[in-house]
Amino acid sequence: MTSNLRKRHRQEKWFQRMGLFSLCLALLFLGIIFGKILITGLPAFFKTEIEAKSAPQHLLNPYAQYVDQGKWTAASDAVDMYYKNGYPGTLSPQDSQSIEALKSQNKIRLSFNGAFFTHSDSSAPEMAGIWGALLGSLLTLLITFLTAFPIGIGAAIYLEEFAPKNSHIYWIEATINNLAAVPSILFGLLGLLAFIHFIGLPRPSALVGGLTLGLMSLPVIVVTTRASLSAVPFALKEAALGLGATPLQVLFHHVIPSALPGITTGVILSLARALGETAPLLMIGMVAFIATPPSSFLDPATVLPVQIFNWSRSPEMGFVENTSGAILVLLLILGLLNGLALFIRKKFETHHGF
Amino acid sequence: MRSLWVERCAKVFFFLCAVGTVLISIGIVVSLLGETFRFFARVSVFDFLFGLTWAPHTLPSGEEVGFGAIPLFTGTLLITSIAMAIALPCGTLIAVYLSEYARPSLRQVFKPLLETLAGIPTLVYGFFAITTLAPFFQSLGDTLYITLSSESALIAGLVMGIMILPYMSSLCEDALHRLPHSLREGSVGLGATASETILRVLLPAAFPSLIAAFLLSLSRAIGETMIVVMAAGLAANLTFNPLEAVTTVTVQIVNLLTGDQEFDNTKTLAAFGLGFVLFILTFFLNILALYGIKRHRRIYG
Amino acid sequence: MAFKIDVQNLNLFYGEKQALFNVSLGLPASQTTALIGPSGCGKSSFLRCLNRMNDVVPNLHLEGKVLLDGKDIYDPSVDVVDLRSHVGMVFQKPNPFPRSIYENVAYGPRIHRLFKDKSALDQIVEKSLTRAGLWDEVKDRLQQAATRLSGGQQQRLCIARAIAVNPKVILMDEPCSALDPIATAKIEELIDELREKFTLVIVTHNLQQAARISQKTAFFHSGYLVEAGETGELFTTPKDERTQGYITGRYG
Repeated sequence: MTSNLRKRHRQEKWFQRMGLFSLCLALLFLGIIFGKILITGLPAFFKTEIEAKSAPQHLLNPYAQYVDQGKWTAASDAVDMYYKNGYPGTLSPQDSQSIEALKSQNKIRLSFNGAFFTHSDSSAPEMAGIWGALLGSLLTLLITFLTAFPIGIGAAIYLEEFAPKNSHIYWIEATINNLAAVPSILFGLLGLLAFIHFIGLPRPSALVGGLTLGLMSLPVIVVTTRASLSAVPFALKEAALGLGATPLQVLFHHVIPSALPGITTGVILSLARALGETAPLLMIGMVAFIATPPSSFLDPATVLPVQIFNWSRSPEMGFVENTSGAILVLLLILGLLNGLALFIRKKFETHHGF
Repeated sequence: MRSLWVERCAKVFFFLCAVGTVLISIGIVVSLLGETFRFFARVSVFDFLFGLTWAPHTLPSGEEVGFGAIPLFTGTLLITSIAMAIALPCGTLIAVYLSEYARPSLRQVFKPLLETLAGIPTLVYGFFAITTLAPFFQSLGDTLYITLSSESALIAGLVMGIMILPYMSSLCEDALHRLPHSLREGSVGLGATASETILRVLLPAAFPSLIAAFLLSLSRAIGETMIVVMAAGLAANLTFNPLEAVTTVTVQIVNLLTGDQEFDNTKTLAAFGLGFVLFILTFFLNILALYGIKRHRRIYG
Repeated sequence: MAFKIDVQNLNLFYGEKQALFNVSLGLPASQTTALIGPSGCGKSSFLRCLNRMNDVVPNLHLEGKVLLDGKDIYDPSVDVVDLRSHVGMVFQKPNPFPRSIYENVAYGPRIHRLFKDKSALDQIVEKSLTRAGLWDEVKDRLQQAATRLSGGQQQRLCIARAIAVNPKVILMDEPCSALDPIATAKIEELIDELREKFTLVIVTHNLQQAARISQKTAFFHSGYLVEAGETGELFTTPKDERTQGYITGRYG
């Protein structure tokens, strides 16, 4: 083998290794991010409890006296931090020793923290939960769906099936494609101006949030729906037309059912993206501290990512745990949504056996 | 007859949907433009675009000063540059590896993993930056006797780079995948190694699409808000030193609008002015990118 | 007469499926050998074994020997990259790189470091384009994009590109099937001239073409090499009835 050949093969190996290295680096970061959040967030789902009457009052949760706990009583926030992480915080050395004693006597334990899921926001980290934010997210996404889905599908159907191929339509298409790439924060500015300033809807409500996110999702849904519609083989439409079906019948009996998996996937992914959006909602004022869950679309509300953002700015250690826990919940929901979309895509992919 | 009427109504409805979607874009431009004009009635365009100090406040005389946006532009530039410096090479390399080297089974596993990275809300990246990366880099800096701000451009840029990476990689991979297989065969048939084929034939052939991928990723980085709100600084700082804290356009938009502001407040209007600049910038980048992709598609059919 | 390439007992498997059954064929030096047969008979698969283009196919398994100048190309010590500079290939659809005409021809010499300086490279490019019968048509526009050429010109460019690395053998997989009759005639003329310096192996489904341009013909059917021999003899007095059936057009 000549030296030139050897050099070329060396370059080849080196190049391939760089590619693999980059890939592994990216996946490493993914692992670190997930790992860190998992480690700091999982404890949020558990709370420390001390066997009733085995510890002095100052080690217990001040709110615990209002609730009949049964055999176990909730521990204070400081004790909770110490038991989970070994972080002494405000505890005196005596207190630490007491806790160690309780540990050896099996009078202190971790139990599932249902309160995290059923409480709304609170200024005390151990009392704060994500229920209000979850409800807010649900209401907001509902509005987003109702806004973006019908109009988006309608627009896509028009552009793909009925629009003539002239320059006006070209500009509409180009505009929508560009809209899909506009930074989300600008939709927040638009929502601020249009819904709060002009129309005067109440500030941090699910309605305004949903409408804003709906505007943001609309172009993306148009683009993905169009892609699904154009993937329907022309032969299918020809067959239906040949049998004497009207364009509308071809559309609803044949084209849409065939494109439905793709459309559904696109909608689910748009909603997933909307669920994780923070910036536009900050613009319309969802930064406020909201302690009661919303009971209508017009009540002040917050969404999960904004709740996470608010908690992240709090200096108390307890809120770090809450933030990570809330992120875990958010990622879980997103994972389920993405998984659902993937499942639908895979399941119906084979039907197009042309 | 009835069915014809139904057909017509349906078509009109769909048409209105399309028009409605376009109205949003008009709405954005009009709203931004309107408020921007009101802003420029109070602060001159020149002071805004070329002013070096960003510290909005009202003087006793009633004059409003400190709306010079240059530090915001340089801050955005600095952080975005760091992010793209990571995302561009790594993203391209990953795309090349997945498209040309990885076995199909490997690709099927790694591609969804990368798309997972792309689907993580940017807020999570920001949180990761302030809780993990900032302390890590600060202690690293301490051991090396380098002072690193906790809100440094380096950390914010690094995290943003990781966020953009899967997006860039995905776009580049699509670009490479679209190239006709006969191109690879021609090169391999002449006795070229895979890396030679990639570097000398495939990447040059996909060049317009790769440029488009770069522009779209850049546009995304410039418009990114949550990472910089959490990880970058609040005070305007005109510097190109990545170890210092800087602020960006998006951070200031959020900052100016937080709290109950009336709509007549100059600060609120300034936010719209910044938003308008952001819109123009990302709009042009996107147009360039989409035009580039179209031109490329025309060459390859 | 020496065989430039001598294939001995070649069995080719795509996973479980066998594509070639015990094929033994000698390809004479400085001659054109035509491979004919109905669609799916394995002639293209066979051709791709000769420069190991089949290597990229997953689950590929090969038994037997392919000797180039007496050395088995499937021997583990053989460098595939080097092999392909000795056995070149021209494909069915012209596939020039989206670069200039000059750069297309210069590509092979560049990666294999076959020249000392720019003027030497210029000479190689000119010689290859001349041999491919394209020089006069493109000498004034070498920097133009290769994709602007007509189909026939592009295919001649691909031939020039293959010639530029000075191979011993040139393989052609239905080189004219995407071209019009005039372009086809030009390339057939070219093939005849190239025979002087190279050994050519051509897959074609055009029987008249095979009869015109080759000295030896091999007939494949369902993965078997049915019959091979001097072209004139094979076409006038085929020994196997399947060969006769194919040649007389009883089946395609």
